[in-house]
This record gives sequence, C-alpha cells and structure tokens, in this order.
Amino acid sequence: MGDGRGFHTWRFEGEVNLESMVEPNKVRQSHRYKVDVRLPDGEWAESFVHEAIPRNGRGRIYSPWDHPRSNTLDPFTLGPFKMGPSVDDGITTGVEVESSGKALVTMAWTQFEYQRDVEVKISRGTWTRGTWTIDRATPDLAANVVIRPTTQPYEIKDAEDGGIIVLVPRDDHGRRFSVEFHDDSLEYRTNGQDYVSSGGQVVGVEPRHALLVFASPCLPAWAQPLPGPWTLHTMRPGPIRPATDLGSSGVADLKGLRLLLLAPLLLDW
Amino acid sequence: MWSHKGIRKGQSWHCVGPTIASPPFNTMDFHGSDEIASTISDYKQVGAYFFQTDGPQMYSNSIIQDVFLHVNDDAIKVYHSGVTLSRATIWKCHNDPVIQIGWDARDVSGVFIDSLNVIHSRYRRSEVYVPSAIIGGSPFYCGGKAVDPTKTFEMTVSNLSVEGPCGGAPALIRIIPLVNYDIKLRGVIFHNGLLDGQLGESIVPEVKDGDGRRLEMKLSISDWFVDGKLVTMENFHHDRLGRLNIHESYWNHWKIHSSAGETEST
Repeated sequence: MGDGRGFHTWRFEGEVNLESMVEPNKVRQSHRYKVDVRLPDGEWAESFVHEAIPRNGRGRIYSPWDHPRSNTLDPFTLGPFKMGPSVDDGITTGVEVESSGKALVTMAWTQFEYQRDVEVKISRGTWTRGTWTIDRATPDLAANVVIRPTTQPYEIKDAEDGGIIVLVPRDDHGRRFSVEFHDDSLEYRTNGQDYVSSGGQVVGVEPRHALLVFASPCLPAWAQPLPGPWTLHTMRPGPIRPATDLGSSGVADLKGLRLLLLAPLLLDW
Repeated sequence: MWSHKGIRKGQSWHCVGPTIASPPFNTMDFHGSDEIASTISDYKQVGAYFFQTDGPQMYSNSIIQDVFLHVNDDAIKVYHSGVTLSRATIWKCHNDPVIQIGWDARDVSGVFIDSLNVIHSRYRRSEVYVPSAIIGGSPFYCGGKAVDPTKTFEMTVSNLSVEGPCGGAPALIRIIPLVNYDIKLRGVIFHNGLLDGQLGESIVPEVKDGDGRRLEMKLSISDWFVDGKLVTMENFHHDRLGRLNIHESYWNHWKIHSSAGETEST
C-alpha cells in the first residue's frame, strides 16, 4: 500500500453526463453519489465514484462500432426497402430507463484498496454547473438503507454532514457490496409475458441509482510481477492507444504471451 | 472484452482486480484451446444492462474467487471440470439463469461453487429455453444433437443465498436433461421466499435417449430454507413450500434432507 495509510483511493478526470458518450480522456462520474474513505478518526480521502448508464448514451444501437449512427436497432428505410426489425436489446423493462435520451436508471461504483478497517462515507447530492450540493433532507438515513448481500452485515451510522458511514472491516478477500436506499427503490413488474409499467406481478425491486462499493484487498504476492526472463509490459492510465500501448508490432507481440497480469484497471466501452 | 484468438493448450490467464463497465457482450472468451486455466480474483462487472453480457468463462482447473457480476445472461458458466468458484455476488437481469449447466451434452465433474449470493434477479416470464431460475440447464442450442446417457454432469453448490423482493425469488432449478446429473446443493436460503405462479416453480421434465432409456437425475439438497422454513420430502411439491416439479419418473433419484435429520424419498 503505497501511501502508508492502510488504504489507497483513486481519482480520475470525471464527467457528469447522463445523456451521451463522455470525452475520450474522461470517465463518467456519478451524478448522485460521493464516497470518502478514512481510517477510523483519520482524514477523509475521496474515492472516485464511477457511473454506468444503460446504452452508454449511444441510443438503441446494434453494436458499439455503430457510433456516430444511432438507433440502428430500429426499423429504417433503405431506398424502397424497410430494413431492420425493432430488436429488443435487453434494456426495456417497463421501468422507464431513459427520457429524451437522458438516463433515469444508473449504476455507480467506487473501488479502493485497503488492509485495515476503514470507514466509508457515502453522500448523496446533486451537481449544478460543476458544483456539488449534498442532500441533507433525509433524517435517520442510516436506518433507511440496506446493504446487500445481507448475509454480511455492516455497522452503519449517520454522518454529521448528511451522508452515511459504513464500517468496512479488514478482509483478505475484500468486500463487494450494494448500498441501497429505501427511498430510491424501483419495482420491476411483469404481466407474465413482458415487463409492464403498472399492475402485474412484482418480480424485482432494485435501486434506481445503484451504488456498489468495491473494497479490494491489496494485490496478492503471487500476482506481483517478479523480474525474470520475460517482458513486462506496463500499461499507462487512459484510453488504450494500440500503436504505443501494444508495441510497434501491435497484437503480434502477444503471441509469445505466457502470463497476463492485470492490476486494478477499468475497462469501459 | 477479454479475448484471445489463438490460445494454446496449457496456457494460463491470471486476472486480479479489474472492474468491467457497460459490456456490450460476453466479457471473456478465449479461442484456440479449451485446455487452459484461469485464476481470477477481485473481479467486478457492472452496468451489464444489454442482453448477452455473460460472466467470464470458467475453463478447466480454474480458480475464481471474490467476484461481483451484474449480468444480463448466463452469470456462471459451468462447462468445464475441476473449477472452484468462491465468494461470488450476482445481480441478475432477466436473460438466462444464474448458473448455466446446459445447452450441450458435456462430461463435467469436480465443480465446486461456494458462498454464492444472488442479491437481485428479475425475470419477466417463465422460461425453460433460457431458464428463469437460479440453476438452469437449457436444451440444445444447436440442431443435430442428441441426449447422451454416457455423459454425466457433476457439481456441488454450497452456501447459496438468494435475496428477493417481498414477493420472492425465481425458481431454484430448471433443467431440460441432456446427460446424467449428479448435483449436490448444501445450504440454500431463499430469504424472501419464492415467487407466486410459474416463476417460482422448479421444473425438470422427463427426457429419454434414442433407445428409450431415461437419464439419471441425482439431485441431493440439504438444509434448504424458503422464507425461514425448512424444505423436506414432505413439503417439496410444486404447490407447496419447495415448488419442485420434478417428473415422477425420477422418483428415488433425488432427495432433500437436513443435516439435523435425514428424510429420503422412498
């Protein structure tokens, strides 16, 4: 753990954006959550909160390579022909996931490394023109949250500035959990054949704005690359640039690959 | 997203710590050889809203532990032998089961899955082709295949926890038999019960090979709780606590017991 604090967080160049692809050198940042980590009674350190949105702001596309064309799953006319049936991409659920291209369902997550008990503060708020305002309206917020899996219980308390604080014990296996606020839940319903927006049978209750906390153990010893008769290739943070990141001969270099090691890394389409 | 077009027998893939976001398709498939192994830990997949966003392949002799998968297709793919999966949390969208064990006739043995937490699932309709169930065996996806009574699928799942809304969770198991089965489930908890109607019902129909021979359906379930109540050989029925609808011809192949005291079908 490089910084001697017993935990390590990351920060990225974020872009809060519920409608479209983010800039290539940025990553999508949660529009709803902020997370801070500290040792009990230590200093808070921000842990960047990422966000995924259904369809990634690219519309109903057939393939990630369709960009900038959009709605390639919908019927279109080519000369005299009507092409392309309206295809189910798996995202339509009776619950409205988008409105005017803006995501109404989101999944946020944060990841940090730790090797001691830590406190994780979760704050809800809103961004207005680049300024974050924390929600302070909900009293007893800690009593209105569930952490799943429920088989692993956590101590949760209210934070003085409006969020909640979750005590995450040291664990050689790390912890991966979902923080779900009761006032943010969404019901998924079916009529037996398809999802419906009302009536029918409730088949799922999920948060509208999911938040996952990934508390990672430190890289195990076996995964630390040792010097040896092999080539160690270290990727740089940011988008993968094939010409420079994969070597001059590109993917051909991977033919002799014996071992591919991946340390904490984010892959995003 | 993780792929290899010419992997060779004996190669290993080690993967520690990544988070895969917004996958458009399967997140890991290697081509070239099936005789490879992977070691995967602290692996996370999020924002898998699209169809066909499977979990990673579990090749023979793989060790996979400490994973979180948001997934809208087969989450755990049991197609190879000698696989250990420990501490997995699954958030399941509506396409295909949590654990897929079917769609081809395979000899599989020595698969151990321990501490599996299903925190969400939402199936829009009752299915057996893309099973709406925690454990699902699809029928053949390709034509020209026949059930194979010379093959056996063997797997042990321990400490399976399924959370659902107050209305309950989907069925425990739905298999269209393609081979013989030897499945052991040790400690199963459906915290909020099973869904009413078809979605909560486990289904295993009778299937015979070309010579009219029935396949074996060895299924052993111990310490199975639904809504806090123990499922036994007295209350497993399709219209009772366990919601099990296993074809009557498999009677005596399978049993439900508790570690406190065993009850067997006689």
